[in-house]
Amino acid sequence: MIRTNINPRDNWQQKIESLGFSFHTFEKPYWDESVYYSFTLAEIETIESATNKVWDLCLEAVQYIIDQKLYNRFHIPEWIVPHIENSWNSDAPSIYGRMDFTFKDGIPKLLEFNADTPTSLLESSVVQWFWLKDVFPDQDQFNSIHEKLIKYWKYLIPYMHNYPMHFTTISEFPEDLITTEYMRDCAIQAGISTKFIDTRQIGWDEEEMIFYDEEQSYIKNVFKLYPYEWLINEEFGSKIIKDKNKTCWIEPSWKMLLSNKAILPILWKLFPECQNLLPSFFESDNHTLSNTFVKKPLLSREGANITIMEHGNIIAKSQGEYGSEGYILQEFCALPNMENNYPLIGSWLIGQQAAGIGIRESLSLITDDTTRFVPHIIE
Amino acid sequence: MKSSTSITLVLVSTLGLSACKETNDTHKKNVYLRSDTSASYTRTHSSRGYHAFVPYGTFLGNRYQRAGYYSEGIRHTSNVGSNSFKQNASRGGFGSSAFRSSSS
Repeated sequence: MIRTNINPRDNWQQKIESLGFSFHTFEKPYWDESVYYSFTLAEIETIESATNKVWDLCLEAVQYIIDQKLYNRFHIPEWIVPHIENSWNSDAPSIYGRMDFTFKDGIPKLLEFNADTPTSLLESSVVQWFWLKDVFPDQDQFNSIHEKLIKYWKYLIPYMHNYPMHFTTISEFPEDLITTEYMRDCAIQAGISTKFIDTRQIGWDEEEMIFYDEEQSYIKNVFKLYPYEWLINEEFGSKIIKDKNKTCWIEPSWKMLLSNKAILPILWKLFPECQNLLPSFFESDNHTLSNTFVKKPLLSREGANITIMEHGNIIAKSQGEYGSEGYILQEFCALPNMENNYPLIGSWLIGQQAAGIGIRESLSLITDDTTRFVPHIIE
Repeated sequence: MKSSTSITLVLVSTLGLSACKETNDTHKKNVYLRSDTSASYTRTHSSRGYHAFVPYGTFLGNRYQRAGYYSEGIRHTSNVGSNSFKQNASRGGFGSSAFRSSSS
């Protein structure tokens, strides 16, 4: 993995805005094409293989959690457990996820799995692909996300109700809105009838016990870019299990077990021989870790409330409002230092397959919402 | 090859459609939109290539009272129509956490 500086394309802002990528700059550029990473094919195949392997382990871990009834370790309320188990036992469709790896010394190590509401999808799938075609038209890129999304939406049609798919998120947040609309774009190309509804506009009829959209049509299939830990704790959360239509939710509720960082100590307990996993434990279990470790809340977003400890001292810490559900401890495996930039590999899983990567580069050891997305090529 | 062979967008980017194709397809799609079901469709004239539909309404206590959506990409008449609030279902039971925490 090599980091190279390069001149951005002329009018790069206009070029990526034409792809619908409007959130490329906040206080500083989020999309950064003044840099790119190059990988050998062997390195890419290592990441691809690790993603597929960890996914298989995740599926085994979900079955273990369900068999052992370990929901309290995830702080999942009991009332939603039957829904989770039913979604697992009925093979409720899942379409995507993003595993975050540190890639050092040629071995990808899983830091966490964004299994419920991963973002940076459009930039990974579309924006960096068009950058490649402009800048390195003869090179390859690990990125068949777009093709696989359309193909998998088609595959999922028999698993859904014969009814339109509603796509929902909070529309004031451009990143979430555009990610959702990009997913909808792929579903449309797969031949699925779609509608958009702001999450706050989802209606519930208490007499009929059915979710409705704004046109008084049933909501029977939903793609949500809105995390389960929020959804189930809100006023309508309990309606999910009362719903007479048994709405098909994508992602399915069993993905709550993988998007929670409690999955990391479970994976380590079950598969300590896997070189793509890092030793991880529940803080409450009082395990002895190496001198350097990372403390992560079970539920947190955008790198919030992460603490890196070395010999009892804090060497990095991020602020936030998470942690009330408890923490896990994970052996520290630093992101590679590339001229004081720290790249994180986001490896996309579409359906059941590794489909591509997106690289987010930060100036610190903790990857947060101020990192920059940089494109990549395969040499 | 590890990358997609072609990428076409039909929704996220509309005016930028021709730039999103590797093919020589020069056919331009006309996109007709409305932001309210009681309004008539009009052809889009957004200069951004993306037609964000933004909800507007008011919060009454803890409840969000939806008035409708608007988009800068379509004409006023297609934004407004003759919309009236006529739902039986209660709304606003999802979405509040997003304004207490940062999003994904």
